[in-house]
Amino acid sequence: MMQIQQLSLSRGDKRLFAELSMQAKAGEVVVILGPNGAGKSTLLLALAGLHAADSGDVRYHGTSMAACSKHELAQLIAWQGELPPTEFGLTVRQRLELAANATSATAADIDVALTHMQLQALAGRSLGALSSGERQRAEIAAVMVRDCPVLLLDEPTAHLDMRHQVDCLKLIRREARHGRLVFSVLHDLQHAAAVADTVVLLDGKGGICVGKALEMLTAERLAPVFGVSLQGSGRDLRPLYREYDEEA
Amino acid sequence: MNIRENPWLLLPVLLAASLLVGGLALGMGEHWINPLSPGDDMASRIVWELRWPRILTAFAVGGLLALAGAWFQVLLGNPLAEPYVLGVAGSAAVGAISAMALFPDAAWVMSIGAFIGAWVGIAVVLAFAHLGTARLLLAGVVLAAFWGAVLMLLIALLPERGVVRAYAWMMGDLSNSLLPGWSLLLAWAVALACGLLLSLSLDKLLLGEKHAEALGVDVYRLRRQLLLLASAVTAIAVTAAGTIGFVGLVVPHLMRLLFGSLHRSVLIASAFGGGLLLIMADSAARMVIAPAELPVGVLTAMIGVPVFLWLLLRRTS
Amino acid sequence: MSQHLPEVFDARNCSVLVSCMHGAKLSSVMTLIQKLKYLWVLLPGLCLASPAWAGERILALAPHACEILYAIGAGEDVVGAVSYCDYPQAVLALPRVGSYERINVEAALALEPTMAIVMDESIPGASKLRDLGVKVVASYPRRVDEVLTEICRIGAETGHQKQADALAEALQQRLDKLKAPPGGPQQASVFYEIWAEPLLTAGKSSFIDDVLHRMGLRNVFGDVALEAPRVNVEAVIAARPDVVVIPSENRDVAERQAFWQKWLGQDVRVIAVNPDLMHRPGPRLLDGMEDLYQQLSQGQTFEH
Repeated sequence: MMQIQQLSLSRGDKRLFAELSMQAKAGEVVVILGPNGAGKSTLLLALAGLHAADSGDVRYHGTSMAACSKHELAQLIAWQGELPPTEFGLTVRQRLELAANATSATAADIDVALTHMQLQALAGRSLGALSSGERQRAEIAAVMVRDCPVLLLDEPTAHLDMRHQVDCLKLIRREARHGRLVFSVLHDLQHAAAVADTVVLLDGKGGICVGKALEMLTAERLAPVFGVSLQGSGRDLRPLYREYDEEA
Repeated sequence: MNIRENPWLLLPVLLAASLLVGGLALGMGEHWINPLSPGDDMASRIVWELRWPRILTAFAVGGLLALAGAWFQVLLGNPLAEPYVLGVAGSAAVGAISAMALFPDAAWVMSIGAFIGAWVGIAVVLAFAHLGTARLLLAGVVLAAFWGAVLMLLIALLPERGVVRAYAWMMGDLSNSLLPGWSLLLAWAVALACGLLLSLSLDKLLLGEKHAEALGVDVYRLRRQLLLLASAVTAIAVTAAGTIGFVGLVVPHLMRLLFGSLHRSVLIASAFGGGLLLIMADSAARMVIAPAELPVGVLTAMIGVPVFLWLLLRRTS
Repeated sequence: MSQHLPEVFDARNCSVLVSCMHGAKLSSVMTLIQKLKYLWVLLPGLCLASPAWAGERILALAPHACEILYAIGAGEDVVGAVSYCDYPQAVLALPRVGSYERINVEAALALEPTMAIVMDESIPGASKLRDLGVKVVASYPRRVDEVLTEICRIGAETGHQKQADALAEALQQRLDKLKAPPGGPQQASVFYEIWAEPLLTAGKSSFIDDVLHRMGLRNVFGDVALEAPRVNVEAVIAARPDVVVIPSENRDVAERQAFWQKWLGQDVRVIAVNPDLMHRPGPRLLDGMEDLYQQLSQGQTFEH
């Protein structure tokens, strides 16, 4: 059970939003939506304990995360963010071993994750020799290996081809079914609709809206936030690409 | 067991070779009679008082520089980082040459000056430790330029024969270390041990600071520890032998190419590999234009660069 | 063209004019400066017309040049010097215009020189001085013989030929005496320790090598084709010198003596010399050589 209490965040000098309060429980998938720069990634970093909040608190099972050591947080939370640098030539397997080391995952767990993300053939390759999509799969595998109760995913489907996007979304659902709490930043409304139980909408002007996925994923709510015309609803919600042609 | 898998086998060979080469041709016999125990004759005194100290100094200094290079590269997330990148060598040189100018009669003040200078440089850098990696690097590069300017000022003010000495010191000199070889070897061992204790955190730092922190590393503390450790090691190396370029930059990369990126192997390999490279370079420096010597820094680059480029080409193809 | 100019327009008179004009309008000062510039171009013509002109104003831009000028009676004409010009005593009072390898052109010109003696014509500032009408003479003796010929040449350039020739003659005689052994074979082999840490010595092309050679001594590193080769203790042991010569400046001679006796045996002689005499290619070189000769010959004979 995670409780976010009146959380206010800034990035640099810019206040992103103030006093976000919400709760999420194990087995739930929370999707964070919003335009660029609204603070979605910063929110994930704050939940991971990697970004200091201006005020407010994040509690997990009643324990304030601010009171936890880095080591304790690493047991609790697995974070997937930007692709790590490749200058020093770590291999895919070494990358997963470093992730596994933070918890008590075994070599067998690593093999399972590699297999699941179809990385067995690339296990000995250095990260720098992979495509962005392959590196992204390695990052998702690294999160899988961690076996933490809370997963924080920052655009997990970025760089992935369609098949791996689908696999990734299935994986999110599966991890939630296994009792993990998943927060994920997503940009694709259909992806959001496919996995979300709850949606956190950041409007980029400091406004926050939290609600059930079905209620949140509607053209009326999202169109003004993103500044595009939308049609349909739920899993069929999609932008209207031909708007200008039709107007003409 | 072959050399590829166990390059350490080269160590005794190189040690023996380095003991055998020198200004005086000492026969094998003389070495085999007293290879490890001091005697009273000239040959044994040359081996014990001239060659062993110099080999130990070369080995320890080379290892320390390579370790510092490996640390700075991870700390700054930059493969181009080397032990002198944050200006520690510059401030050490300023210290050494100021000491030389103030007390021209005593040779040993240069080493003390270098040590004090190095720590002044470290103290200044530490004030920037809380900044992000990019700004720390920038601050270091600017500081290095500053120390370089102070150095040029000092050299412009120095008497002409002092300049010769200052240049010689800056090009590296293993023959006149104030610090005895065994103490350098001790520093080498302590540095390697500290490095190995941190090696897992260092590996995680390869993924970037955020990822390392997410994997349970206290990055702020680690960065301070690393900065202090790498700077201290650089200060010791500079104090012992002046500035010897290139070892700290290339040996860690060389070892990554040979043994992979994980720090347990990189650090052990660098500590030994840097030492071996410097022993080789120093032996060559004594032989190439014998009876005269070349500055050892020249040879480290001349031996290291071709080896490194060859490995680089072979690995990419 | 120069005959149209009144003789009062030498450099000193110009400066008097300038100082008179301080209160004048800017435009007239500018015009005057332009005229003066014009005069600067003409000055060398004046100088060349009368080489032995008593009004020569000389910049001695190297320590040895300074010593030569004073030794040949041209000391009166020296108006400026550079760092390390420290002999004779009178030099210490002269204004400094930089170092032997870098001239401060403005400071040099402020002394209104007519001639500058430099080590090397390619140093920064030398060509500027020449462009501005100062006669630049390069003097860098690299061998003992060249010290004597340079003395004569500087004498000729500055109008003190007679004294210079006499000095060179006297030095030559002293030099010739050094060749004769004072009482036994003098072919000692010498290790000349220019610097202790790192160990630097004099190589084949060095001035010191020639000095030792002229005294009939053998420089043990005389065949190394470098000016100041870096060597190590072993190389010195292998070279087996009879004598170690140490320039005394900034060195603990007793400590060096103990050091070399430890490595070269108790028989080795360690002799301290004054580097200002031995390294400077000026008239006091013979003092330095005679001192070394004296020390060498004090009850000593050398065997091979």
